[in-house]
Amino acid sequence: MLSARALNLQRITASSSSRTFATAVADAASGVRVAAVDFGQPTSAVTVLVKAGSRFQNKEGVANVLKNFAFKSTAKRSAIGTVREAELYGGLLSASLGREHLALTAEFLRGDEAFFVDVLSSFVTSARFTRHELEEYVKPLVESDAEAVASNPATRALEAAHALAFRSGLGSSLFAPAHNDINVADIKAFASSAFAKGNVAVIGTNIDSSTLNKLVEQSFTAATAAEGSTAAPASKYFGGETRLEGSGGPQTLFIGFGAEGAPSAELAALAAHLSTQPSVKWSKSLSPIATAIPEGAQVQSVYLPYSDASLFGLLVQAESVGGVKEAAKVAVEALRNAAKGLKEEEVKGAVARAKFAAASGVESREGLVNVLGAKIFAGSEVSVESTLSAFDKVNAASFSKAVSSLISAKPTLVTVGDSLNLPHTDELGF
Amino acid sequence: MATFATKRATTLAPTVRTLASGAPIAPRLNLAARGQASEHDHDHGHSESSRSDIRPRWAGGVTFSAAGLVSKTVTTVHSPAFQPRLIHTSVANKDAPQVPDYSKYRTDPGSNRALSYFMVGSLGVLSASAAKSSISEFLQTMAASADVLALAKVEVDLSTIPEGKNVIIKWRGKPVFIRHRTQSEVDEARAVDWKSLRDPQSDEDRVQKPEWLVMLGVCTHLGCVPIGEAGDFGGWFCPCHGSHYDISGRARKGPAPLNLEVPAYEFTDGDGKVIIG
Repeated sequence: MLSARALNLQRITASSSSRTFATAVADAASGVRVAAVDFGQPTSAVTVLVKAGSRFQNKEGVANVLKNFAFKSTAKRSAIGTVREAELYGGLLSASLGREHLALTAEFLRGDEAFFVDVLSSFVTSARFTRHELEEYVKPLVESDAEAVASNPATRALEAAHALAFRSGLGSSLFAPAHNDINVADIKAFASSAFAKGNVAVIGTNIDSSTLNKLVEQSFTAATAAEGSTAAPASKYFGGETRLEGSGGPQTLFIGFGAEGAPSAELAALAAHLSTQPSVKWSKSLSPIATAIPEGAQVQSVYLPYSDASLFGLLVQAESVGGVKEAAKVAVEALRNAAKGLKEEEVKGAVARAKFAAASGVESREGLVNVLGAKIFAGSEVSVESTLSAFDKVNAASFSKAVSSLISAKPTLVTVGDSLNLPHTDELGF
Repeated sequence: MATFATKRATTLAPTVRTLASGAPIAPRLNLAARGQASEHDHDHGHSESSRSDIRPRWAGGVTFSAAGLVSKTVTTVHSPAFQPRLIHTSVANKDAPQVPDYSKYRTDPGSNRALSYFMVGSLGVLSASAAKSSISEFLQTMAASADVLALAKVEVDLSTIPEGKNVIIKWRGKPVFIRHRTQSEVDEARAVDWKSLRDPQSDEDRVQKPEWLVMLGVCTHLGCVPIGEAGDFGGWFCPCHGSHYDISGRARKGPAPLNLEVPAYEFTDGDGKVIIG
């Protein structure tokens, strides 16, 4: 029994290591790029990745409404029909919206791929976007999304920071305004531009690549033949300061810097260096911030890479304004010290942690889709090795150079809470 | 990053007071409080998902990871196992909790079941007969009244009566004999010496047309109905007391004092009918 399991395990590892990590195929017929990887696990997942993130929206909140419209009625089946049939197959349907991509995901048992690819493709090709569904199903979800954010100071701070840092494009919010006039025509217009050729990629996990290719070819041939695609101007970093009122929740401060261009491994290493997430339970991490901040305050390093820019920052939260002030000073001090240059072994440790985080992130389905999706749309080689090999080039000199050029830009500061007393940018020494 | 519950509209009990604006007020109810974690929670450490007014974590929401800030909506979920409380365990609030026990005053419903059945059955019979009589009373109002019936006439089609046959019809509650006489019968009736009879009457006086004899079928003795084509004289015979009538309906023998009565009748022109009355 044991030996049989061991054999089986061996076979699986052997097959997955012998295979290239994922294969990307530019499907000529439908213009849909397909990538699949099989780990030999019992459940499959297919994600349709669409370049319809909030940075591409032409009206505030349209991307969020489109996300919540996912799996509503199409020309093939009604919304309730989709849900009931998916339940009969025992699958899960979900839609995720990021700033870059809209991901429509179906998770299901092996063998049911024909149905679930059909569900995904019918939404992409023939969604009906009816008014009653917008009013009755979608608007409440959109409102509840926005409401959940309004009550979460950390998310509010990050949203505001994006708006300050990048203004349009990456700056536009993931969520719809509380009072909006988005109607069915807006969504149809956005969807028709988003679901165009070359804007859609299909990523499957635990599914045979040729099977997925065939299904995609069959079901996406009717895809909108329009050549149009969503395009956003190249991101530019601005920076600035904003102070939001917050009622309830901790006092929150976000100080961040943006970097234009493709995400760099140095900044990921910086995030790992400053991260206060301890590796041992009930202890403090080795981060220079973790030991110095007052009790009750917490500092989180935030590194958000996008295709043509990235946002790095520190999110400081504490119950009292004094705690935030002190913790923010400590955090900024640590950032300056990192710019001055770290010891070689400190950089090595940070790089190792960042590399492990990147590598283990790929093991989850969402992480894999995120990494592969970015590479598929960028047209670069679809493999995880290139992501990991970038970390090997980081050394102390390149690290300090990247950090000092990062913090030389104008900072982005967002405070949520007591805006009278929370620190201003100049009080933090910028 | 802590998430904080937002206050959502919930179904409130009717006892909840309202503000002047109409908004409900529940002074000691903290809607932002998280549910207490207990060993009965099926999602250990995520006790907020047991709150109906907060979207549970498995139903999507905002996540912040290496992929950036992602807003997720889940269409179909395999929610964690939970047991809905379809009935609550607090004591029911009765309207009148101190109602006395009347059970010993109540009779046993099984003891007088026969009487109940009898009452039901007899009332059924009574009501059925009442219904029957009321319906028949009503139908009788549709019948012709007595004064109309007293002036009634009867029309008889003579072409259907062959020669030498009797027809008995009902007219004003009495039988009427119509006989299509043969020529020999006519001759026989006229050959009799009618002046010597008990009630002398000639055959010519009794008929309007010699082949058609029309008369009331009531014995002049005591009102029986005589039998046709019978008796000693080839006419009618009353079985009650043995009166004999001849082929012209004249009393010839027995206790009958008079000839059979001839009603008023007339023949219609052309269509061969007789109207009696």
